[in-house]
Amino acid sequence: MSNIAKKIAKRIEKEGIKIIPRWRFLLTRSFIWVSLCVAVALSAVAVSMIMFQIIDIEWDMLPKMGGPKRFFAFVGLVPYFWLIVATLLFVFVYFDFRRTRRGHRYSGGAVVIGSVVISIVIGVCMYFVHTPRFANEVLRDVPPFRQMENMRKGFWHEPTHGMISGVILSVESNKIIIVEDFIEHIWNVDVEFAEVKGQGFVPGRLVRIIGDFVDKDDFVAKEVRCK
Amino acid sequence: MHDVVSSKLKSDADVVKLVLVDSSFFEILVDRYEKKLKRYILRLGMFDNAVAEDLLQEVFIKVYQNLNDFDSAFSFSSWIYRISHNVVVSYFRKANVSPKILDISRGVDDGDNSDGVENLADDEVDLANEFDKKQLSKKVLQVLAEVPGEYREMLVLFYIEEKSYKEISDILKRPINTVSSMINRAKRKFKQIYHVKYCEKDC
Repeated sequence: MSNIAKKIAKRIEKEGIKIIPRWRFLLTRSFIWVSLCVAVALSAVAVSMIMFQIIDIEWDMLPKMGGPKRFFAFVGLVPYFWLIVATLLFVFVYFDFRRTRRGHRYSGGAVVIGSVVISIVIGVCMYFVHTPRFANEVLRDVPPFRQMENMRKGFWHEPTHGMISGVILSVESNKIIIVEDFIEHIWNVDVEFAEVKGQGFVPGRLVRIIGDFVDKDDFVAKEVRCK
Repeated sequence: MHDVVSSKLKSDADVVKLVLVDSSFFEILVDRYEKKLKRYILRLGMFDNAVAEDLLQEVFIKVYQNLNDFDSAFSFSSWIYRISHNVVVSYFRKANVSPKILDISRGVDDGDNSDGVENLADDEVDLANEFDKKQLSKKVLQVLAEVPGEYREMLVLFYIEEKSYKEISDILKRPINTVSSMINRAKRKFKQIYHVKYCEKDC
């Protein structure tokens, strides 16, 4: 036995040094993989929300807005929040993946591109199974989200420029629907001659209406987009 | 008895399995890696032999504690070098010091791989005909000591410890492409320093 081997054996015995049990390493490794999967899933949700918010922009309605508002709408409708969330999650995934046993073998670019592609693929699938709608429902009860959502929706609410946006409260007849906008103002909307796009008038559904402002409570619709 | 077992068990992974059952077999791993790791620690920049031995002990204690973390899908050698690298880095961090200049004489005599130094000389310096090998090795080590830490470690692992790119990637936790480009950069740095130090007078 070499000198150093003797010293090590003595130290192990004297200090009561033990071999760390396997389960502790397994637990750490599992934690890394679980957090990695959760981060990828959340980044996919963020991607689906980005898709949802971009597709949700009524591009053809932008020219109908007043000059400065058109600019602010264009800038304001970019889904910054979800872009930031997605970016932070990609950064997390990158570093978390690096902590896995084989993570260091891949180049930074490959890891980033891989995680972005996986998130986009899962995010697109989530979009088609209406995950963003469900996420919106859940997040609506969280005040900052509600505020952010109302701000986004507020861009489509400009009665004097012929646009209102809100939720259908009730359908009075084939002619009139009652809509509550985002500042909780009630509108009687004449839809008799309006072109209806989407799934029809259902209470609780979001609508965007293009038409003519009559007075502070009444609006005549030319086009109704049911979301 | 351990000598007999050591000669029968060719792979380190087999010895690890044995140590997990009976810790006295840990001595086999110490015997197998003591010289290599001491040389590696010294070349990473340790000047004081006593400190190097303390660090070596620390390495083996960490290896012993973490034996269950060793994955036989990887090479045991890479794993133990990784632990040594971490121990040395954390020593530098705690002591708030940088790698020092190597002790040249010990560097050549103490390790069992002065061939490794000659590998570096053969590959990077075309002077083998002009000096005897020992003289050249001393010069190479002197130049190596002046190569910045990160690049020096690459050269030490590649030429002296004779590790493959994949093994270096596992030891330093860097992508293989990065390892390859860093070795090339390290070689260039080595050449530059060598030429400034010796060739301006002799070449």
